[in-house]
Amino acid sequence: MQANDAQTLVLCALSNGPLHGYAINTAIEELTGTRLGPGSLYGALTRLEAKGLVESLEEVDRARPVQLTTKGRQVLEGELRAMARVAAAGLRGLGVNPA
Amino acid sequence: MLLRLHPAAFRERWGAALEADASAAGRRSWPGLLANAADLWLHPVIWPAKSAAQRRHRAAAAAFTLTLATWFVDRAGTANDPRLTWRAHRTLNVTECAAFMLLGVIMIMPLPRPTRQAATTLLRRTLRALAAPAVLFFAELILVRALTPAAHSAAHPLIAACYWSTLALGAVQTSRIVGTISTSAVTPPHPTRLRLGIAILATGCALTAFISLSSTTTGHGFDAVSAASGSGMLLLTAWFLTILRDVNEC
Repeated sequence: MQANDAQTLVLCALSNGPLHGYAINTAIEELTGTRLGPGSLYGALTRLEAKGLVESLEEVDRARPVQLTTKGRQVLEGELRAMARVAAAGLRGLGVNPA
Repeated sequence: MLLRLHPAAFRERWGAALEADASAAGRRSWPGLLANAADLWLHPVIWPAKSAAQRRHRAAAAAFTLTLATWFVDRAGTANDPRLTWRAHRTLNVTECAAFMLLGVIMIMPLPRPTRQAATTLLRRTLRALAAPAVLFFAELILVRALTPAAHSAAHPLIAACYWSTLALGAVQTSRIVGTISTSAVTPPHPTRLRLGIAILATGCALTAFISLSSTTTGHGFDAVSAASGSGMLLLTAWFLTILRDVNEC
C-alpha cells in the first residue's frame, strides 16, 4: 500500500473509530484536501472487508458504519510505521529535521 | 444506471450509499464507477459475502467458467487448425492440456452434500439448465443425418452456426449451475484443494496458449485465428492468476 492508496486512506480515516461511507470521505478530505470518487471509496471498502481489515456494524439511520478489525489495526500500524521510516530517511537525506 | 453494472452482492451491500454519493459527485464520478464495476467483475472473490465458504464457492464458480471459456476458445482453435491436437510440440498438445485442466476442474468443484434432498436439487437444476442445449444438440444431429450430401454442403454455414451456438449455450448453462447452486446442496472446496486446482487450471491454460501461439507462424504464413485464440488464452491465464491471488488474500 502507498500513502495515497485509497485503501490506506480509508484505514487511516477509520483509525479514530467507526464511520459510514460519507463520513469516511469527509475525513479523507480533511486529511488530503480531496475526496475519493464513490467508485474508489466503495471499491476500497469492499476489498478491505474481503481481506478482513474492516467490518460492518449494525445499520444506523439507513447508513451502515464500518470499523477497523484487530487485523486492520495491525496492518495499518505496520504500513504507517514503514511509511514513517521511509519519510524520515528521505527527510534526513534532504537535510530536513523529520520532527 | 451505472449502479446496475455492479454485481448484485455489491449493490445489496453498498448500493444505497454509492447511489447517494454518486448523485452528489455528479458526472465526474462516472469514469470511476465504470472502472470499479469492471474491476469487481474481474474479482468475484472480493464481493461482499456472508462467509469464507461463500467466497470459495464464488472462486470455484469463476474458475470453472474460465475453464469452459478456455475449452471453448481451444475448440475454436482446433476447428480452425486440427493439427493443433498433435503438432507444434511433440511432447504436448492441446488435448493433453485440456485433460490436465480436467484434473483442476475436479479439484475446484463444489462437492454435492450426501443427502437425498441435495441430490434431487442438483439433478433438477442440471436437467432444467441443460434441457435447451440438449434439445438443440439432438435436433442438429437429426438434421445432419437427414440431409443429403449436396444439401449438407449448402447448409454448412447454418449447421456450423447452430453447433457453436449450442456449445456456447451449454457452456453458459453449465457455469450457471455451478455458480448458482445453493450451498445447502453442495459444499465449497477446501481452501488448499481450491488453490491447487486453480493453479493447475492456470498452468493448463498457459500451456494451451503457448501451443496456440507457437503454431501461429509455423504453417503457411501467419494464422490469425491461432494468434487470436492464443492471445485470448493468455488473458484467461491472467484472470485465473487474479482469482488465485484473491483467494490467497481473502
